[in-house]
Amino acid sequence: MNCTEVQENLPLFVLGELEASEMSRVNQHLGSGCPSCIAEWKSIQQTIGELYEVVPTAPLAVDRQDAIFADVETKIRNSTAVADSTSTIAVNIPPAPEATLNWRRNGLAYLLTCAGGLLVGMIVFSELNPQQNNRQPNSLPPWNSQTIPAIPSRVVLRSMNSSHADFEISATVVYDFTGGEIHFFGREMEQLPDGSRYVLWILDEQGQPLKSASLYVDDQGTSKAVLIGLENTRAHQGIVTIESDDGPLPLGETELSTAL
Amino acid sequence: MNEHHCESPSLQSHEHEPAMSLLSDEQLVFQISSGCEGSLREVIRRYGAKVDAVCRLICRDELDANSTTSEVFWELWQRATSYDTRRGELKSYLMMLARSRSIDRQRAQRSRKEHSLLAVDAGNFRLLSQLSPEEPVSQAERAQSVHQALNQLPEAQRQVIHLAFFEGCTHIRIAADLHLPLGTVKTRIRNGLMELRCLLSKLHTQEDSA
Repeated sequence: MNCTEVQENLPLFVLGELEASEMSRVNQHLGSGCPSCIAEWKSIQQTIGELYEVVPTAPLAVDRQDAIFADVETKIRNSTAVADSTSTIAVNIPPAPEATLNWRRNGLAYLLTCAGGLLVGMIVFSELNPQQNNRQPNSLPPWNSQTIPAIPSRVVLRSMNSSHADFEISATVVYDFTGGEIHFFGREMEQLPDGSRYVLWILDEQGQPLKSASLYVDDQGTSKAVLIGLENTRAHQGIVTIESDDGPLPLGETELSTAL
Repeated sequence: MNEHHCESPSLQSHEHEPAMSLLSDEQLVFQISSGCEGSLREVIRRYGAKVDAVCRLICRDELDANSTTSEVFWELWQRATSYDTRRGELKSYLMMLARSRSIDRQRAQRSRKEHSLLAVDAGNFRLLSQLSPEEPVSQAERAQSVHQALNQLPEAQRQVIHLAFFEGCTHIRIAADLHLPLGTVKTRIRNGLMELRCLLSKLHTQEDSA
């Protein structure tokens, strides 16, 4: 889908009324970081936001605010009780790199030969530490995966995001903080070209790697991995990169995306 | 931003942490994604009224609107970690969410009740401009600007914008009701929004220079 087609579809995309396949294609295009389409997207959203200014709005009474909050809080409590320690997350990984992708060119040959790399931010984490709420934003990893804060106080997994989402796969991550294990179950993962592979990294709050594992994808697009030895660590985030088999590579040099 | 300590407020306590009001929308969403319920409360304080108003406008039923408003903020809580603040304002995001969830609820109820909340004849925004006396002046002025811009739109565009955003009609429904091809409705919505953007921009410029 080119820019013209994307921009024609943006209003319905914002309204959530495109067919699923079209939604996906527009999402992919925006995820690739196209500046003109992202600007158009933001502009449409802003216009719609202004449009609703005409709706008569009285201040919301405090007790009504409390009622809304109480409703949401009940849902949070219920979901936490049910969610246990698993959750499904989406992992966005772009296809083979194109010249238009706004990737940092740092001279590493593997970046150019591997199917593109990107990454993915998914949060794996959770710990029973209320201080987690005070995490500094600059503790997020340097490659701008827009990632994503973890969930404190509960063993619930949620979140992920990528600036360069060209297509999606899904993964479920189970973090057993008691046993110090992380189980990764990927689905619908594309087979990579020879010479490259997926790598799952587990990072701490400062973005430093705690563990990593290569992910092997079977014929059904499924990948499973278990990382152990994470007890007494502050596992905070998981990301998936696409890397060359020529590694090992310093994690800091797997920086793949720049700010959009 | 995270130096603002986030506590989960008790339902029994209505005390609002003053520091929260200093945070930007982006910071609040970040904190929500970290599980900070106090930040969610602050977002409800900031945008609850507008979300509630949009839900009432489209749902046309108080109970439905109340439930839908809660759903919007519950969805924000769930999606906060994947919400990209660079791609749009939180307020716009919540407005779109309110519209979508209200339409979903309408569908679920399968009973589109006629109502008198606003003028039903498409394109007429007169009642929308009857602002609540409780609305702050600045908000009333903004609403007046939008109202003015809307009334400058060509009739065909104004009609679909009205149906899509204030009547909660999908473009498929609009096409069916107006006996228009889907592509025409799509184009009119897009052109209407683009025109509206230009008009609002001009109005804002005039207001600034005045």
